[in-house]
Amino acid sequence: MMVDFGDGGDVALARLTGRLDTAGVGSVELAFTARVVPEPRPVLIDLTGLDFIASLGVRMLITTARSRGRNGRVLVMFGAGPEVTDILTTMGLDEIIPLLPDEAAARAAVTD
Amino acid sequence: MTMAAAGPRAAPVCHLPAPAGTLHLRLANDIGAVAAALPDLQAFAQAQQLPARVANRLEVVFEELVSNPIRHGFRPGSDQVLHVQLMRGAQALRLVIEDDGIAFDPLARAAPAPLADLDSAPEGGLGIALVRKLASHVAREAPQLPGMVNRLVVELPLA
Repeated sequence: MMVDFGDGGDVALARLTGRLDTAGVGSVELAFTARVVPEPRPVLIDLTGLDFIASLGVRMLITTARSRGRNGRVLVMFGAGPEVTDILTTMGLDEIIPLLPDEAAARAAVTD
Repeated sequence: MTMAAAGPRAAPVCHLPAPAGTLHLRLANDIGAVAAALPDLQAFAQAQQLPARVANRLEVVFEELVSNPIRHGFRPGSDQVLHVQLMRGAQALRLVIEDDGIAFDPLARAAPAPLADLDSAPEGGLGIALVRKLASHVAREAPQLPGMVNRLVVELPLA
């Protein structure tokens, strides 16, 4: 499991790659939250390389988005494959964190 | 005082005899056993020609129900074990998990309300909530294997 960060100009990108299971969350959560929570620009979470997500991964996204939201900061997700989308929508996560099909749609969502 | 040398640790995952079409694994008290069992789960899904969505849901339910006893129900470093049995029925996959950890009923708590907003979203109980949403049937039953304490039966629709 990996997380890496990109500079998208007026937005920040965080790419999650691999399996966001118990072990995966343990390996990236600290780096992910430390970078994403204080980021002043809107953050786009790139899920195109995410192969799997379980509840601990969902919890990590909720706590990160909540911490940002309390400071008026935006976070959206994009690019989830069909299996990851199935789990996110089954949980209803897309009801509280926007899930967009691709980066262009995600950028549009935070700049409109 | 001389300390007894620790014996070799059990393999994280052990195959046990099972009828054709059924998978029976014994997992050691090792969080690494969850990942170590994945190839067996994926081989079962492939042999049963499960659709990608069903195979993924099986992995998610397995992850939730196997990692919880190891993380919360077992004594650290103990030789406690967890049995996983998986079989395919006509309409659903049947996953049976038995462990000898602390007695625990994950279904005792009411299912949480749907996620409404970030501020009220729970941080705990998401795993069993997800299992309840994915499964057509979840029940805690009396254990059937010798020495086991908990038994959870989950059925996952094939379509």
